[in-house]
Amino acid sequence: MTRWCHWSGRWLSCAAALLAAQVLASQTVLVPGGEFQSILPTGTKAKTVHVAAFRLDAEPVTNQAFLEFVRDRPEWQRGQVPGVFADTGYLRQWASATDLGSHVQPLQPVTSVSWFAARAYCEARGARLPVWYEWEMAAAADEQRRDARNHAGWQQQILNWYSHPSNRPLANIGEQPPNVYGIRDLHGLVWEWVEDFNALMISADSREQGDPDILKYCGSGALALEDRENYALAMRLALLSSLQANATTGNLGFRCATDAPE
Amino acid sequence: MLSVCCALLVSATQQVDTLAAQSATASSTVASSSWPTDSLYQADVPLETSSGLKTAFAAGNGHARIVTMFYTHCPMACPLTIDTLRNLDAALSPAQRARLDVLLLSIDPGRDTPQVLRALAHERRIEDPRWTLARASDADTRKLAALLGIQYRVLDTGEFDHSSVLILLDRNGRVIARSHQLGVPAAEFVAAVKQILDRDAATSDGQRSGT
Repeated sequence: MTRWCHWSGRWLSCAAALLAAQVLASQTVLVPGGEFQSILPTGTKAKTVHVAAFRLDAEPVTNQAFLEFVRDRPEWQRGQVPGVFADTGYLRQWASATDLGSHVQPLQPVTSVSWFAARAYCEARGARLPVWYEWEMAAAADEQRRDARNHAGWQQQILNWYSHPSNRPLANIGEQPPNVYGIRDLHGLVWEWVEDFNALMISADSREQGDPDILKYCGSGALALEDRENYALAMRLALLSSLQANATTGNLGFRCATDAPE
Repeated sequence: MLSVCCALLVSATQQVDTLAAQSATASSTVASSSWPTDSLYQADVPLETSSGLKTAFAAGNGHARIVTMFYTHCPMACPLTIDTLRNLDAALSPAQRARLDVLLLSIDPGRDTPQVLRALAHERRIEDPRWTLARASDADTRKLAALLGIQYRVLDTGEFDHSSVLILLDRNGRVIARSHQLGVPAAEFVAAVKQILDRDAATSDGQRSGT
């Protein structure tokens, strides 16, 4: 992008675009730490887990941001990445390895990226993927409150999303109002990778699972919260735990997190 | 206005440079052209063995390998995994056994220091040099599990929920077979192990005779 700016000579609009890109790229939000009641069983009598304070990207990683990453790190370009790290669906929505093309918007969340690719992107930024508890804590909020999980509106929004047909084009990031932390699009846009996707223990071995098997999970241990909310989050858990790390799907993207000093 | 824009451009360039520098030094999952594209050894993962040796996941000695994950405080599944591996070893001829390495990776690297791993090896009488117990960093342990298709989760008690799998890699790091069966090793898995080892023997015999 800086090269284009240099040759085009259009300093003002270019600088504005760079500033916007920087703002988008670096916008992270502090989520204060605390005790949190997760849908996942703790394995002991404790009802809550302690989640240390962390910073989370305000929005999912976009096509534009991921494109800049693969230009910087060509070994992560489509066609270069070994199958071990990303399957054949990797970035299939882009026109080419280094060009989004006209059917894909720069500000749509990037999808069809594997866990390894998402992780590499976050690492390159000095960040990491969020762990499940962090994602879940941030996602429990709505616009008004940090824990909206007992509110019908929160559940309904998620269930509404599930009922949408999946053949509509992905919206751009940032079109929905932020939650009380200032974080957007945790629901209603894409599924998101977490660092410990293979800690969710729904399936015994991710490679031997086909479709996510919610009933298997529900049967195997007590879930901490009530049923409608279980369904909303269980879908997400079932998906994540059924995936292999090199898997890519068109509805699965990610965002990054960093530790925050308490 | 122009000087403001120039300043913005300069800072943006610096940010790109910083990213590039970071990515150059960050431990990476960089593709290595020396391994096949479906080889798990494409992943560059530093390991520390029970003898304190700093090595890497891909740094075998050209042998086929059975890889599994475990932890020393594991009450049941892991001792059983070790027994299964021993039973598997016993099913092989000495010549076959000599071509097979065993790698046990800890899912509890914080507690499973080289000293703790050595103590376990001593307690379980794991003396064969073909068997290696090792650990990686926390983040790399998660990466190894992801590569191997193993699930694990630490509980509040410090115990782990985890899958117990034996994974057979050929000498190039490709996954040949997997088995969940503990105790008596699964017949198909043993067969796959023997087949790979016999193939390795035939290849190196061919090389020795100069064909």
